[in-house]
Amino acid sequence: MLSVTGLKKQYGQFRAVDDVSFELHPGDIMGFIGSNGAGKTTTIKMLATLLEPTHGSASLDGVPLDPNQIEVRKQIGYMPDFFGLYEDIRVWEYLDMFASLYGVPHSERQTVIGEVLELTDLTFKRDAMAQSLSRGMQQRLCLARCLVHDPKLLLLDEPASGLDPRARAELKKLITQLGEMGKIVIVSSHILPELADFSTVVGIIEKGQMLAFGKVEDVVRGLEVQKMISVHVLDRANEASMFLHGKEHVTETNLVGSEQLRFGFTGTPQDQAELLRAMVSAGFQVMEYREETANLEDVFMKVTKGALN
Amino acid sequence: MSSWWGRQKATYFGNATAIKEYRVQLRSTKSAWMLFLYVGILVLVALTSYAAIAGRSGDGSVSMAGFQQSLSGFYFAVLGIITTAILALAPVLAASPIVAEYDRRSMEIVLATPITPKYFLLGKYLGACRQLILLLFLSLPITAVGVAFGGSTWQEFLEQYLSFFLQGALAMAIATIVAVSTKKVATTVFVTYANLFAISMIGSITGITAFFGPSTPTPSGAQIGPFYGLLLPYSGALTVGSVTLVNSIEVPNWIFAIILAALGVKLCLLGAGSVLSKDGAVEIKSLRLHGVVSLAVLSSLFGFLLAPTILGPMTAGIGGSGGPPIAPSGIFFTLAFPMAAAVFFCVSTTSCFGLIDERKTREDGLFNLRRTFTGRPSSGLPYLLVLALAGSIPLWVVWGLYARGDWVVAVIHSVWFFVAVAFYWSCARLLSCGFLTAEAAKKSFTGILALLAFLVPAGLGVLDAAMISWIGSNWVPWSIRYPMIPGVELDLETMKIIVLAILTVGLTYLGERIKRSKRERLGVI
Repeated sequence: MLSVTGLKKQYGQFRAVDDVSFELHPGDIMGFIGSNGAGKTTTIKMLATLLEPTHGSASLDGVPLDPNQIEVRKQIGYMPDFFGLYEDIRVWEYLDMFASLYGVPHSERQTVIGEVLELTDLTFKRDAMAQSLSRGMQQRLCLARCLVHDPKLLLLDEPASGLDPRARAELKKLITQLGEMGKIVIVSSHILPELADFSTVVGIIEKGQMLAFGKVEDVVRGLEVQKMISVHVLDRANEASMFLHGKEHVTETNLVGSEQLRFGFTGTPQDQAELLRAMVSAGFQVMEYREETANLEDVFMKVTKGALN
Repeated sequence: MSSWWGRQKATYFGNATAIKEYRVQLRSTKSAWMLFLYVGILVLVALTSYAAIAGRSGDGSVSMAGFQQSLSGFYFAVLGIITTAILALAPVLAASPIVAEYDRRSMEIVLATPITPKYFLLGKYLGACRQLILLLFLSLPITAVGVAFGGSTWQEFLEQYLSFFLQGALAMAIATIVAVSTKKVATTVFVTYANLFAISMIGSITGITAFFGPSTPTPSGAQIGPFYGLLLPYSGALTVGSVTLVNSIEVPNWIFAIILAALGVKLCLLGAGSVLSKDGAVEIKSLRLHGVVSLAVLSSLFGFLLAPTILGPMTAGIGGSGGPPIAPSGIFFTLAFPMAAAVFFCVSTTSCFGLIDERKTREDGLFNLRRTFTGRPSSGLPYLLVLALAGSIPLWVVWGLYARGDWVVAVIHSVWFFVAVAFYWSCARLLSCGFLTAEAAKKSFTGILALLAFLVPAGLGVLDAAMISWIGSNWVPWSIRYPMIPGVELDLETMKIIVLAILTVGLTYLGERIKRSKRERLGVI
């Protein structure tokens, strides 16, 4: 279990991370969301033991993540938001070097390298030069590097930035697989759709403060994001909008096109069904009447003010 | 014990960074071109020298007599070019892989693994050493020709190659610490050359003086030379085969050269490791302790080994009948100079933090004896004084032995040296408070040191020969010579040292005022 308590990083008066606390369990994949400069990378670097917190602490299965106790790094896989690959080095040599740095015994290294290459679908590139790989493959190689020592905690900082849609999809699949393997994965990003698909837990940070944390559904529910209903009518969308305007529980109406409109709704499901009946009774030919699911983007926009540190 | 051995084995023989360097360093076309160029230049110089010394006449015939006489010249010409090539390439070999780590940002990834900065830097250093050995091997066929035809003996030949390796290894170690600090290859090469030049100058001054002493030939007829001679670029070849007398025992100087080079390399690598380490880390404490011990060792070697070479046996006594022909003060200035230079060299690295960078080190005041080995701002002055003390004690003892037990004079006069150290520390503090970054403060301090220590005294000396002695005794680093002069007029000297102490306090106070007002203006605490 990863336990983070009151983590704080301060440079003079500037608070890069301010009192961040959370807990994650094996198998959790945490989407760590925040604008550029919100404090994601600083938090991740403190968890990777690269930065010493000003206050607070973090522990993995009870072992403190202390920069002065470097042995704990054997339980952590850290992938920054850049590749940092060497020139003139083969894929297997690169992994062999990191396996050695992480203390994997010489006799086990070839087996481990074979396994991580298979997991990241790079077996056929084993003898290729690392620099000759495509961007997506290089990203997978970096992930393979983080896995050679079989860590319990994976810290992935902006892993999908700069990848094409296919590479991004492959990466999502791989991260989901790592969660299923029982690893704790923290994935930071400011691109919300890429996190929405696989995150089981979400943490939203702004100005160094964790504004929301929990399971995605709980966060959405807990923040009481306004329910939006989308209506598709055969004609007279403008009149339908006027009809809805002023009705009980309807907060705002927006025309999306000549046949479609959206409106905010605060009532119960019964009230929602009653409103549909009223529309039909008023002669509107309703083709579609559905509640839009609140997503991470809605949550993010609601809880943050867009302010940077 | 077994786990300690396992760690050492993993660090020195199974070092993953070194293995990676071994694998990749000869793959690039750049490396191939470098080796090709190196061998090409060596062959070209060898052929040119050969043609010149072989005494070819106009019709192309060769004078064998002339050839034999000039063979030694050919040998030394080749040695000169190898020295140049090694010293030109060594800093680049050491700095390039480190700077490349910064450029591609892979340093952070490597340091996120469970290894120490020492492990990482040692790997890089071992990789560079392997290339250095390769360069030396490639030159073997050319130099071996000189030996095979009688230009030198095989023993001298081996000692010469050891000298090449130690000089290259020292240059690479200096380049490592500079590369870690500056993150630029060109700057690293330039600063390394400047350091090598300074070492050569200091070494030559002390070494040349040593030869002026009343040394007698050893019973075996071996040449007595400065014990560090093999480490000096270019003049190293002249001290090949020389020995140092230690209690009438002839100790080959290559043994001292290995010890000194190992100390120097260790200090440089520890220094580089401490740059990469966090505030108060074990590496910083280790570096500082090693610094104190190394300076004491260096000072002892200079005092106990060179003084008898120059002044004769210690029991003779200075000023007594049959005393040495050279003024003892000058000799002691010579002996103390490397030690004093080392202390002044450390002023900027221990005391220049910069306004912004200082807050990252959790600034903790101006002086704290308990934090002497932590690397924090309050440790600057205590550490410099501890260094000065460690370097001075062996010289006090040597002085005492020559001056028939009059150690007190040396101790009292050394106070001046300590005040001079404090004065330069206050200059460094003032700059540290005036500039935002450590780099800017350090550069400015180096400039001021050069100005105060060399340019001002030299300029004043040109105007008035008497003035340099008055000015110089107070603030130039070589004021260390005064503590060793017996019979100096204490009243005048005491007054001058009081002025320097007042200046020290004033500059320190001014620095703190500047720091406070600048921080208020910039809005940082």
